[in-house]
Amino acid sequence: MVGYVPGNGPLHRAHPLTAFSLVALIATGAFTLPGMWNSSLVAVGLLLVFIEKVPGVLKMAIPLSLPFWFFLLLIHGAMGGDWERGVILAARITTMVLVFLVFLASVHPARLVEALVARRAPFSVAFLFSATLQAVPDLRGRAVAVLEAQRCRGLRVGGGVVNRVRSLVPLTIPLVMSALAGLDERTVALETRGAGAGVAKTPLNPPSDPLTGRVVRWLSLTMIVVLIWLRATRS
Amino acid sequence: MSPRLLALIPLAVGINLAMGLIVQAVGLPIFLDTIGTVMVAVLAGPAAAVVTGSLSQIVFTLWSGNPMWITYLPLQVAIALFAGFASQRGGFRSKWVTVAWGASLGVLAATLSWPISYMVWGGVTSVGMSLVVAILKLLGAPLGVAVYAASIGIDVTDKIATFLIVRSLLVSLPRRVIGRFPGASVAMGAD
Repeated sequence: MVGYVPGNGPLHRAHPLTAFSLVALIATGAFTLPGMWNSSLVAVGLLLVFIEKVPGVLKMAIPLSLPFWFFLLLIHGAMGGDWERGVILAARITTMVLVFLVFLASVHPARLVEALVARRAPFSVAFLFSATLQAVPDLRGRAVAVLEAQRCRGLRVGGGVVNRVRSLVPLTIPLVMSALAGLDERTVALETRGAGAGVAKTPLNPPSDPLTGRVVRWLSLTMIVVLIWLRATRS
Repeated sequence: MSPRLLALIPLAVGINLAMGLIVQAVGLPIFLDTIGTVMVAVLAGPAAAVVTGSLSQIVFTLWSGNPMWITYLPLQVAIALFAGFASQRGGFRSKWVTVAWGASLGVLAATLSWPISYMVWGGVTSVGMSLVVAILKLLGAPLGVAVYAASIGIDVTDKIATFLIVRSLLVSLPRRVIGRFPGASVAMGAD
């Protein structure tokens, strides 16, 4: 997973929803601006990488984007003769990957959850988001453990297609059963903490939300609406 | 939302994302990334499954760092609703009934993912799928047809496998768990 990178750039300091609105604006531009204009947004994405000082983003963005450049230029350019469309689509994906990775590197998930709680988002939304982010590495760790344990017991996961399909059941069932085993315990823990009470929770450390950030957020939202409207009326 | 669902949904999302490791180890050209969603649809109904599917797509997008995947969120919602519908009609009562429902879901998934893959992303999504599209295009198929053919081949196989694995899970579930989720008995054909 692309993790948070500590830093002091404008997006790091901004309220998480303000950072999200800026990223959403650039992504909307990548989809709505005409022709090669949207390709120039790759430069905006790169600029963000350097402003936020998160060069590690490029290490992730390049291998993510390269297969798209290859296949889009192959299918639309070499096979279809429309090189411009291939470049536009590939640049769109690169822009989105870049700004999205910058967002992930600049906004800590816990801070985003705090921002949502401070905005009176239902407890279940904030809990599901944070609990899932914790559950995913746990379950992936269990999957690796199950895989190794079953291999130790003599399970062959290679060979022909039939053998591979057969090996799915002894790998999946222990994984799901082990996850469900702790379900009752988790349910009781949540009940005792009043999770079902339906009362708004108080955020422990809500991020600050200065006036400039709120103005930027509203301007971004307005520009997103305008861009979508212009795109809709153009086609 | 009840505490039981709050406990179940993160685990189901975790299962969806952990299946990628198992599929990778086994080396099959399928995803199995909706097992958790289908399981929740059976145990807790379509509404909880919609939350599971949507959250899976959001977290997978964050996990992979590729924002392309968020555009497939409507597909996860459709899969959750369809799996809930299938389970309420005893869609897991026998192997062949399960295969039929799984294949139907595969066709639906391919039909719904096609406009996203073709119109939004120009027919290029995952590496495996893009390779199939490129080969079909090379053989003379129009791009739209190539994208749909690649989607339907992979999606139908994937959803049949997903439904069969969930059926195996339902058969293996302890009575204690089945007792807490009456939907499981209905999915297995009990009145």
